[in-house]
Amino acid sequence: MKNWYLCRLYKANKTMLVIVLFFGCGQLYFNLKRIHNFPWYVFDMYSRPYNSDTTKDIVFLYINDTLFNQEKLPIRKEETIFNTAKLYNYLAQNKFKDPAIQTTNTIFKKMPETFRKYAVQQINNQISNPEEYKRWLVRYIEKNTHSVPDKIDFRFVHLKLEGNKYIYQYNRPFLIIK
Amino acid sequence: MYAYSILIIFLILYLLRFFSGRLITDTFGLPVKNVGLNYTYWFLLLTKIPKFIHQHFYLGLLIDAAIPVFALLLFYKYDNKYYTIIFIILCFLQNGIAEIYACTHNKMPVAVFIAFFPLCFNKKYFELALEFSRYFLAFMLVSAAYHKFHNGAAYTFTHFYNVLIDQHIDLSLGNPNHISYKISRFLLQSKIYSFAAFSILIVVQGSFIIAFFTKKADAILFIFFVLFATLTYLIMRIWSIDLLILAPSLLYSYGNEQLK
Repeated sequence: MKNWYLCRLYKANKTMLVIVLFFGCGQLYFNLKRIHNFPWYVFDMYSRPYNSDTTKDIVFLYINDTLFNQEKLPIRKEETIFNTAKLYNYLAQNKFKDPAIQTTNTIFKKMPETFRKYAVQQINNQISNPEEYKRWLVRYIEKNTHSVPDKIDFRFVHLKLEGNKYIYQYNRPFLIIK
Repeated sequence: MYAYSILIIFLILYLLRFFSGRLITDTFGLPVKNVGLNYTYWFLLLTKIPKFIHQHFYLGLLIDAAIPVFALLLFYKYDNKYYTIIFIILCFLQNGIAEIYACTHNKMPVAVFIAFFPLCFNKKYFELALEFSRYFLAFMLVSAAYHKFHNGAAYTFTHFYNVLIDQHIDLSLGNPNHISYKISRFLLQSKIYSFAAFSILIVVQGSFIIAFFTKKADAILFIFFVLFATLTYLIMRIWSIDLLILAPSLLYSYGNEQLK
């Protein structure tokens, strides 16, 4: 037992022991809660049985009415474009009042109202000018595709599962950027 | 040697980060943000620091530029724990601000912080701190294997088959010659192939439990780890390359074990 890591750590450096135990407890707590919170993450990727749907709607980027080949962009830039666009669309559907404000107020429900207002101001989205994101996205796409497209929009592409492959059926624009 | 190896890997990863658009300056001007339930970033936002840095382009640029400068400085001053701590703080700010405003949250960059943990203490405690980094790596992979059993994917015959059908839909429509798509089509020829591939993944991840009991298998675990990071990218386009910064912790321990 005296060769165990924590025992050796206790004898050598109690500060490091506290840090290691704190990290371990945090990891255990957030794993049980299944919350991803830096630096404690739940490593449960692809662990839940996955079923393919017979039909699917996937978001794709169309530039000048042509489906954009996402592999032309590095993975992080692709994530930035799609994740921010999906968030923007979600906010637009809620008239640009961030639905996550309710979560912030719930988490801080025991705090004074002044603090809750401050927290909402800092943590949640405050969209005063909806066109600002569209202008940013146009500049980002132009800079990364090295072109100035006439038309940029996001579409739901409807797919149908045939055998072990999804086949394109049709597309439906839902977020026009330019 | 450990410091040199993680610094070289870090600089390569930083170059990839630069081309991949995951610096603070890449998110300049983005008017939306998303933190989900990442409470660390909630507290960071409450300090107003991310907003201040994000709004001032040159401050973001200063942090983006300071990080590789500190990394180069650490080549000569890796014994100085204060430089490492400042470096880690800068990395945290960059990672946090970029993730908050790009509305993406990735687990892999945490490997950088764990890899530099041993350099945050006096030299005489280096090996003890390095053991923590090594145990974290093992925990990460064993935990991934455990969840696959706990949540049921490990013994669902069609699980990975269905995952592969969905994983590369964008390639099937826009880029069917991509290597990941071709590999997935091969594995989709039979449910047995895809189940076998997933089972091999679980065995590779689960094998890291050996790291909790002995260091003698670290050379094999190192090979498994590199194969894991490479093949998850080729087959699934999952960017696990950030994790490779933890690989030297296995080699260092293996080297020490051989010397003993």
